[in-house]
Amino acid sequence: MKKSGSIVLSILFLLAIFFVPICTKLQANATYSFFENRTLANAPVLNLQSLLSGEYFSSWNTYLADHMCYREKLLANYISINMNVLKKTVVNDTVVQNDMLLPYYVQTVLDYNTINNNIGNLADSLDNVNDYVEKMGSTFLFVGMPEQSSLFADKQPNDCYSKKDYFDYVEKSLFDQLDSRSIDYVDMKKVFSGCDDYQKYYSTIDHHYNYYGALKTYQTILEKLEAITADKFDILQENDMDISAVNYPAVGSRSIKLYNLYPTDEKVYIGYPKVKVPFTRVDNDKDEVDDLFTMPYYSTSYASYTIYMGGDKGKTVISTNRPDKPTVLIWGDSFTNALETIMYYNFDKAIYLDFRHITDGSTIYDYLDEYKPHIVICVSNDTVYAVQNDNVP
Amino acid sequence: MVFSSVIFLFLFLPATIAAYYIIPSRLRKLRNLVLLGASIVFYAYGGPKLLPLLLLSVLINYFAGILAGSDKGNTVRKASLIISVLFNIGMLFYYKYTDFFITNINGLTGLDIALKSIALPLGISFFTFQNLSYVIDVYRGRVSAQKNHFELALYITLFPKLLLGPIVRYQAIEPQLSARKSTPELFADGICRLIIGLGKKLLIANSMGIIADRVFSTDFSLLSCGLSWVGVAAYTLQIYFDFSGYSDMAIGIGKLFGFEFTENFNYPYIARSITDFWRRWHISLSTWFRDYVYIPLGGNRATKIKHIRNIMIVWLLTGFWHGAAWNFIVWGLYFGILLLIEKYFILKKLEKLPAFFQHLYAIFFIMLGWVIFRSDSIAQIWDMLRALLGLSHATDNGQALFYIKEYKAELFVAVLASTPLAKFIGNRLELSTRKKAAGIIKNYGAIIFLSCVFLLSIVYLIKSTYNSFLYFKF
Repeated sequence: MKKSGSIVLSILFLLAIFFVPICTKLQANATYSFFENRTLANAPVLNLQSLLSGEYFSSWNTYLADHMCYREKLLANYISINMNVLKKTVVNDTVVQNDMLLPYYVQTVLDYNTINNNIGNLADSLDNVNDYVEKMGSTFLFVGMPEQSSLFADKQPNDCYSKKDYFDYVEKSLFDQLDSRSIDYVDMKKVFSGCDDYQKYYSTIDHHYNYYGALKTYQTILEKLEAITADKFDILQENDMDISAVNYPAVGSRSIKLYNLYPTDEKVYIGYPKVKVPFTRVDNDKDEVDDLFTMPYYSTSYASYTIYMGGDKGKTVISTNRPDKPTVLIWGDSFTNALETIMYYNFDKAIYLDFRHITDGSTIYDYLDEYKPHIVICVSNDTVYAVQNDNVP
Repeated sequence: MVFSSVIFLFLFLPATIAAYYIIPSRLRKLRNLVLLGASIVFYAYGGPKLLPLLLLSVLINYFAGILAGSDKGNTVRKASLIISVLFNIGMLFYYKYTDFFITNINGLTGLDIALKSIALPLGISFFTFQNLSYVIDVYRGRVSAQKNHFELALYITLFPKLLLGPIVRYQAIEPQLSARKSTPELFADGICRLIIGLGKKLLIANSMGIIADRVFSTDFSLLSCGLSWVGVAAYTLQIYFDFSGYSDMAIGIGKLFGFEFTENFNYPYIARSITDFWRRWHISLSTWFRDYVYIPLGGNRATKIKHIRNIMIVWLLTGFWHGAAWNFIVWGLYFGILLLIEKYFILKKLEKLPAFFQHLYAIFFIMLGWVIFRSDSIAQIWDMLRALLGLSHATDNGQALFYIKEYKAELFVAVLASTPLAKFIGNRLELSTRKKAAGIIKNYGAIIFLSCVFLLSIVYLIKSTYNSFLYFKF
C-alpha cells in the first residue's frame, strides 16, 4: 500500500477504535434491552475476590459490550444481513418462513427414561390434586395446550427438525396416564388441529396462541365442564364479543429475536364481552388493577402477549360479586394469561396462580384450602409436559 | 483477554496505542516499558493470581540466560540450562498434565488419587517454549543473554504473542527490542493483518464452528455419512481460520508497535503432502520441535531405527503439547506415522501424480487428522470414523444439505480464503501495466474492503459478547 493509502487507513482505523469508547462514555446509560428482554450489565464492583479471580476484568468486557454505542443498531444489522443478504433459513435460532416464525430445534436422541419419569411425576401430581379436589366435592380439569411449534410442526422446512416425534410421544404418554387415572382433561391440540382454520388461533410470531385461540380454549373448557358436571354455562361466542386489534405493531417471542425486522401484519387482539360483567381485580394480594389488558405506554411501543393480564403474575383474584355462580381456580404458566381475560366471565370468583412467581412457599393445596373453588383447572403446554417445572405441584 | 473482544479493540488497544505513541520515539526504553506494562495488564486480565507465575518465569529464565551465556565455565552454563529446562518443563507438566497422569494412574492401578484441578495459566504452552528457546539459544551461543531484565520481560510477555503465539525466537526479536522503527506503511500493514485476522475469526471460523459443534455433538445413531463429512469439513475450516486468524491479529498488532513476527501459516490446505502440510501449519511450533528436539536427537542423520524413533518422539510430544488427553497423543502419532510412510515409501511417487490428486490425498488425511484432534474421546474418534465411512446406518435427514445451503456464503469465502488467491491478485496488480488503475485498486480498493470487513466483524462481535479461540486451552 502506498504511503497515502497507509495514512488514510491508519486514520480511519484509529478514529474507529477511539470513537467507540468516547461515544459509549458520552451516551445515556441504558439499563434494559427491550429486544433481548434483559437487564443490561452493571459496571462491575471492585472487590478483592473478583479482582484475583479475574471476574472483575471480564465483567468490564460484558459491561462494555452491553453498553457499546449503537449496539442495538449493530445487532439489528446482524439480523438484517442474515435475513436479507445471506437469506438464511435460521437466524438467531429462529426459523424464518414466509408465513411464520418457528424455533430452530437441534435433533437429539430422545431420552425416554427422563421423559417417562417426568411425565409420570406430572401424572402423579395431577392425580393427587384430583383426589384432593374430589374430596372437596369439586371438579378438576387438566387443559393441555400445544405450543405454537407443536401445532405447526408440519410447517417446519423439510431439512429442519420439527420435534414432532417428541411432541407426539409426550402427548400420548401424558394423556394415556391421565386416562388410566380417570383424570378429566382437554387436549387442545386435538381441538385446534380438527379446525380447518386452525392457523387463526395461534400467533405466527410468538410461541403462544392468540386471543381467538384463548376464546376457543375458554369455550372448549366450559363445554367439557358442562359434560362432566351438572352445571350449565352461558358460553360466550365470537359474536358475543367486541374483538379489536390493538393499534400498535405486534411483537412476539420469535420476532423479538429478529429485532422485529420480520415483515408481518399480525396484530394483537383484545376482546370485551358485549354484555359486561363488572369486576375487581387484585394482583398478588396488593395491587388493584382496573382492566384485564395492559396497553403499551408510548407511541413507539409494541403490542405483545404481555397485553393479556399485564404478563405473568403470581396470583390474581378477579371478583364479580355474583355469589350464585361458582368459583374457579386456574393455575399454569403464561399459557393461562390470555385465557384469564375471559374465564372470569362465568364465575363469581376466579383465582389465577402461576407458581413460577409465588415465592412464599405456598402450594396448590394451600390455595385450595383457602378458596375452596368449585372448579380447579391446570393449564400446561406440551413443551413442559416432560420437564420438571414449578407449576407441577 | 482475547483480541476479538470489545474490551480489547475499544479500550485496551486504543489506550496502549495512545500511551505508546505519546512518548517520543527517541525514548525507546520508555516505550518498551509502556508495552511491558500493557502486557502485564493484558495477562492479569485473566486473573492476577497467575501473574506471579509469569513473572517468576521471567526471573528464572533471566538468571538462567545470564549464567548460560556467561564465561563461568561449562559446568555453570550447563547447570543453568538444566535448571531452566527443568523449571519450564516442570511448570508446564505441573499445571497442564498433573491431572492427566493422575487419571491414568488411577485407571491403571485402581487407586483413587484425588485430582488436583489446577487452574491452567493462560499461554503456558507458548511462553514456556519461548523461554526454553531463549535459554537454549544463549547456551548454544546463537544469541547473547539479555542483561536488561525489562527487555527480557518484554520479550517473554509481549502481549500480541503471549497467549497463543507465534512462538517467537529471541534471535528474531532481539534487534527489534532496541532498534525497531514504526512507519506509516508498517502501521497500516498491521491494521490490515489485524482486520483480516478479525474477519477470519468472527466471520468464518465462528460460523464453521456452529456446524462443527453441532455435528460433533450429534449422537452416533443420528450421524449420517454426509453429515459427518460436512462436520469434519467445517471443523477443518474452523480450526484454520480460528488459529490463523489469531496469528494474523498477533502479527498485525505486533506491527502496530513496530515488531515483525515470523509467519505462522502458509496456506496449509494447498499442501500436496503431509510433509508439505507441516511446513505450512503452525510453523513456529514445528520449527521449534525441529530445532530443539528433532535435531538434538540426531534428526535424519542417524540410523534408520533412530530416525524413526526421533520422528515418533517429536510427534508424540507435538500431540501431547496440544492437550492433556489421549486423542491429542493419537493425533500426534498419526501424523508421525504418515510422515514416515511418506518419507520412506510414497513421497517420490506422490510427487509424480497430477497436482489435483496430491491435494486430494493431503486434504483427505489432514481432515481425518482433525477428526482425531476434535473428538472428545477415543470412542468418539471411532464413532466419527465409522460415520465417515457410512457405517452408522443413520439415514440422511437433510441436515447435511441444510448446513451447506445455510452457510454457503461462509463456505465459499472460506474455501477461497484458504488459497493464496488474494496474494495472486495482489501480485497481478503489482505487475499490471496500468499502474494508475492498479494503484487505485490496490490502495483504495483495499481500504474499502478492509473497512467492510472491520464493520462486519464488529457487527458479528457484538452478536456475541464473548469469543474464545480454539487454541486457548493450550
